[in-house]
Amino acid sequence: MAVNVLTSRKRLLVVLILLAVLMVLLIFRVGYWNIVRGEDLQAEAETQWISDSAVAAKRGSILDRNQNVLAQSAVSDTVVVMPNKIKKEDEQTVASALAAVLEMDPQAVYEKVATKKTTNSSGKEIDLVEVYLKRQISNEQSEEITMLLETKAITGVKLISDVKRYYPNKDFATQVVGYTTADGEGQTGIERRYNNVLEGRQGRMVAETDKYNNDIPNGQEMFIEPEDGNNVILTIDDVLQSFLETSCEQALGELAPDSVQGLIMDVTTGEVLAMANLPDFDLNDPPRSDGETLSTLSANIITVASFEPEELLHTFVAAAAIDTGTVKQSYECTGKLHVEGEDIVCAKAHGTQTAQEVVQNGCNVGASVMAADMGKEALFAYLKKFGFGEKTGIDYTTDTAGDLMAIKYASELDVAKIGSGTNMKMSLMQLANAACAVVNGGVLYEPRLVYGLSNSDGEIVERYEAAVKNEPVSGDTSTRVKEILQQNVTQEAAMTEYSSGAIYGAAQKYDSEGALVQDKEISVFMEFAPEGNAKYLVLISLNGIASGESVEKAGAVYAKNVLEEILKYTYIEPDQSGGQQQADGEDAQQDEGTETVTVPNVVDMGMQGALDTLEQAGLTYAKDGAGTVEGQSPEAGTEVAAGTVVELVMSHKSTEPEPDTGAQDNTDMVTVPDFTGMSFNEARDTAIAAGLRFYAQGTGKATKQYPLYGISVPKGSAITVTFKLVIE
Amino acid sequence: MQKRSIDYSLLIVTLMLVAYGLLMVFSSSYYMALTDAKNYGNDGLALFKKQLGGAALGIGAMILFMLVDYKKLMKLKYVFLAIAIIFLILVLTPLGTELNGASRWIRVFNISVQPLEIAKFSVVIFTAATIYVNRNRMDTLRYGILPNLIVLGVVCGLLLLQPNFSGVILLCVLVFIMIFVGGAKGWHLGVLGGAGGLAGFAVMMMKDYRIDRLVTFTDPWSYASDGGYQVIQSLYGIGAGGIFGSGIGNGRQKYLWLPYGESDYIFSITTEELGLIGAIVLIAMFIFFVYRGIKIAATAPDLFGTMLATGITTIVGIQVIINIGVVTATIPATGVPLPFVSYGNSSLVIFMAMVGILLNISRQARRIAMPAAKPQTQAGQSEAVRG
Repeated sequence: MAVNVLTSRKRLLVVLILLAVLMVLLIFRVGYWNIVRGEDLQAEAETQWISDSAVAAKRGSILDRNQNVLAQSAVSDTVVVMPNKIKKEDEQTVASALAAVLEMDPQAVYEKVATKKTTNSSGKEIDLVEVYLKRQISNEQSEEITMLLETKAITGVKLISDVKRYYPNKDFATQVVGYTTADGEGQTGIERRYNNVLEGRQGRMVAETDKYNNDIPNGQEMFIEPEDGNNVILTIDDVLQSFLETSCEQALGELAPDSVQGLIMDVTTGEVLAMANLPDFDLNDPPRSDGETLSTLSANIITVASFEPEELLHTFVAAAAIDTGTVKQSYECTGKLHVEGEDIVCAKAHGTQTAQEVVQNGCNVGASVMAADMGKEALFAYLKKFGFGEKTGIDYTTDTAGDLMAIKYASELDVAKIGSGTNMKMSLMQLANAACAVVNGGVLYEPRLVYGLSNSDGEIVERYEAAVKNEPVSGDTSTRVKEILQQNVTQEAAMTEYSSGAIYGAAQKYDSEGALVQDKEISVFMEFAPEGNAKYLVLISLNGIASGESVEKAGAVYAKNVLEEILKYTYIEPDQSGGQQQADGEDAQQDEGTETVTVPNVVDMGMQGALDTLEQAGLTYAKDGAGTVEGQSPEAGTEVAAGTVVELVMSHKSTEPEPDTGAQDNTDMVTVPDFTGMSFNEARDTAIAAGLRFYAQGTGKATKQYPLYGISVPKGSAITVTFKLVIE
Repeated sequence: MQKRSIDYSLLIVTLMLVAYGLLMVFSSSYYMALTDAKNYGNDGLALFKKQLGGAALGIGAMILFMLVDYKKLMKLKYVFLAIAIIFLILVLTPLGTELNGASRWIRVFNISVQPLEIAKFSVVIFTAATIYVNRNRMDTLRYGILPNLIVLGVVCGLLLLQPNFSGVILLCVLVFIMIFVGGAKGWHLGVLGGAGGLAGFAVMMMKDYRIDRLVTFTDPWSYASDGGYQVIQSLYGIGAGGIFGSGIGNGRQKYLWLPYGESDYIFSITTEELGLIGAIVLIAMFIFFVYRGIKIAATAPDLFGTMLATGITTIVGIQVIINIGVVTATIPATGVPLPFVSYGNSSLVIFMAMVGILLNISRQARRIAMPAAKPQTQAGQSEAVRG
C-alpha cells in the first residue's frame, strides 16, 4: 500500500498541475477576448444594443383653396404574422380567422402562416421572424383582430401602427391630387410634385433595447422629434371642381368620347380653380395591379398631351393680326390656298369674310393669309408671347412645351400651315392659359395649382402670388378680340343673365403611334364670362368624340352649364338683363377711406372668396374653421366702422377633419380635455370618455395635442396626441 | 488516526463561490425572468429565489456529508449507482422533460432533477470504492480497469440515449483520471487514453468547422441554429466588459441578447459586469479549490478517501475548464454548468454535497511526511490556524 500511496501522490501532483495550468491558460484566453479583441467586440455589441429607428413625420394634407381636405394621412394598423410563434396545429385556425376578417384568400394567408423559413440573398436559410400580411387595414378590422388576440383565439399575430393616406372625396381631382405608395411616397400629381413639402423630416429614436427591441430599464435614450410635413393648399375650389366633374361625367356618358378633360381658370390670376380628367379612379384604391390602366388613368391629359390645335389657333392669329395692325377688311376663301406647291385646305369655300368671320368659320385659308400678312417674325413672336412652344411653368408634375419649330427653319409654307393651326402642337393647358391672356386684357400669367403652404398648425407659411409671364397683346386688342369671341356664343352656349365669349374647334386625333384616328376628333370648347370684365374661363375637351356635324361645338352646353353655376355660386352680378355692371365689391371699394363701410354678404361663399370680399370691403375677419361660410356677424348691410371684425361661422370647424366621413354632428359639442403628461392608456381612455376619436403619435408621455385643450369641438372629432419619452 | 478540524479554507472558498454565483444569477436572470410571463410569471426574482433555496439545500447536504464518515459511503456504492441508473432510465420515459431536443430533466415532487448530476456523484463513489477494493491489483486489466469501464459503459450508454454527449465526455475523463491516480499500469492507461482521445478528437474534428465560423463573426444570424449565435453573444459580453467591467447590474448582454446568461454562460455576464479582474478572481478561486481538493486527496487516511477527493476535485476542475472553454470559444459549444456559480439546483446541491464529503475527508487527514515541500507547509499552516 505504501507504494500505491506514493504513486498516487505523484500522480495527484500531475493532476493538480494539469488542471491548474489549463485554468491559467483559460485566464489568458479570457484576456485575449477582453483586451486584444475587446474594442471590436464592444463596438459590435454596442451596435446590437442600440436601436436607431426612424420616427415618421406626419405627412401634410392636400387642401383645396377653402382648406377642405383632399388628401390626409391617418393612423392605420398593419397586420404582421410571426410564423415561428404559431404552432403547427394552430396554423389552419389562425389562417382562416385572419382570412375571414381581412377578406383575403385563406390559402394565401395559410402559406404566409405556415412558411417558417426562407432563403436569403446569400443562399442561407433564415427564419422568417415577421411577415407583413396586410397593410393599412380599416379600424373595424383592427378591432376584430385585437379581440381575436385578446381572447387568445389566435396567436403569433400582431398589429403595428402604420399610416394610411386617405382621400375623403375618393375620385375627386384624381390626377391633380395624385396618390402615394403604401409607404407614403408621392407617386403622381401634387402628391409627387410637392412630396418634399408634404413628407416633412423624419425624426430619430435612439435607445438601448433588449433583443426584442423593448427599451431597457435605465437605458440611454435620445429622441429627435420629427418635423411634420406642410399642407399644400391648392387653388382648386372643391365646389367648382364638383361643378366641373359633374358636367364632364355627363359629357362622358352622353357623347361617349374616349376621355373628357375639363378646366376652370381664374383669368385674372392664372389660378386653376378646377381641373378634371375622366375617366378616373378612387385615389383610396388605385388599380395598382394593372400598371397600364393605372398610368393611363393617372395621366393628366391637360398638361401632358399636346395636339395640333387647327382652328383653335385662329383666335390667336387674329389677335396677333389685330395687335400688329395688319388685319384686313376682308379675306377671300376659295376653299384652298396654294403655297409652295402644297394646298392649305378649308372644309368649303367660305367666300369673302371679315376677320371675325374667319375665326367664326374656322377658315384655314383666311388664317394662313393673316399669318402671311403679319410676317414670319411677328407670327413667331406672338406665338411665343402666348406661351406656345414652351412650358407653362405650372407647379405640377407634368408640363409639356408642345411643339413649335425654330423660326430659322420656317418656310413660307410652314408659316401658312402654322397660321392655320397645323405644324405645331400645344397642350390644353397652354391653350387655356393663352385664352386667358386674350380675354383678360392681354396679360399672360403663369398658371398655378398651388395657392400656398400651411404648417401643421394650419398657419399659412407660404403664399404664391400671381406671376405675370408676358403681355402678348394690348388691352384694346383684347377688347376687340372679345367682341369677336362674343359672336362665337351660339344658342347652346348662351346664358340668359350673363354675357360671354367662346373659342372652340375640333382637331384631328392621333393615336400613340402617331397614326391618324379615323372618325374621331378632339373637340374643345372654351367659354369665358362675363364678356366685358372676364373672370372665369371654362374649358371642356372631348377627346376621341365621333366625327360629325357641329362636333366642334359638342362641349358648348357642358361648358355653359359649368360657367353659369360658377357665376351664380360666386355672386357675380348678372350683366345681361339688369345691366348692372358693378359688383358689390366695387361699391365697397369706393367706400374705402371713409369712416364707415357696409358689411357685404359672405354667407354661402367659399372661405377664400369670403375673405377676399371682406378684405376688399375694408373689414377684418375671425373664423372658426374652413370650408363654406354658414353665418356671419354683423349681418350683411350693416354699417360698421372700417376694420371691424366680421365673425364667420364656417362649415368645417378647426379640428382634424374626419378622414372617412365628412359629416359631423354640430349639435353635440364637447370640450377637449388637457392630455399633457398622460400616459398612452390614460390619454386614450380620457379621449374615449370625452367622446373623441383618439390618434397617437410616438410613445411615452403626452406632450402635445391638437386641437388644444379647452376648445369646443363636435363629438366624434379626432384628437391627435403626441407622446414623447421623457428621460427622468 | 487523529481527528482534525475540517479544511476551513475549502469551506470558505466554496461559500464564496456560491455567494458569487447567487449574485451573478440575480444580476443575469432578473430582466429575463421579469419579461417572461410563461415560465416565471414576470417575477424578476424567480430564479434568484430558486437558487437561494438550492443554496440552502446545498448547505444542508454539505453539513450532512461532512458529519457522516465518508467510509460508510463505500457500503452504499451499489445503492447510489442504482439510484443513478434508475433516474437515468426514468428521464428517458415521458417523465423526462424535453428541452432543445434532449431529455435531461426529470420532475420529482415538483423539483427538477438532472440525473447526470446524480450519476456524477454515484460514479465518483463507485469508482473510488472499486479502486479501493482492488487497490493491490490495480496493475491488472481485469481488476484495475475493467470493473470501472463496465459501470462507466452502462452509465454512458444511458446518457447517450438522452442524448447528452458532454456528460459522457465528462464522466470518461473523470474515470480516466481516477484510474490514473488509483495506480493503473502505464500502458493500460496509454491504450485507454489513446482510444478515448482518438474518439474525442474525431468528434472535435467533425465539429471543427464551427470554431472557424464562430471566430469569423461574419453573420451571426445565419448560424443561429448552429449555436454559433450564443457563443458570439458570449464573446460580446467578455469583450464589452473591459478590465474593470461595467459594474454589477450594468451589463447589457443579459437583456435577452445572451441566452442562458444565468446558467451555462454566466461566466460571460460575470466578465461583462466585473471585468477581466472579476474573471481572474473567479478562476483563481477555482484554482485554489482544486489545490485544496488535491491536498485533501493526498492527505486522506486511506485510498478510498484519496480516490473520492480526487474524483470530486477532478469533476469540479473539468467542468470549470469545459465551461469557460465553451464561453471563450476555445472548444465547441456544449452545455456544462460552471460549478457553484451557474443557475441550477441539481448541480449546486450535488456539488455542495461533494464538498461535504471533501470536508469530512479533510477532517480525518493524516499527518505524514509529504514528498513535496509545499503541501507540508500548507499542513503546517492549517495547524497554526487550528491552534
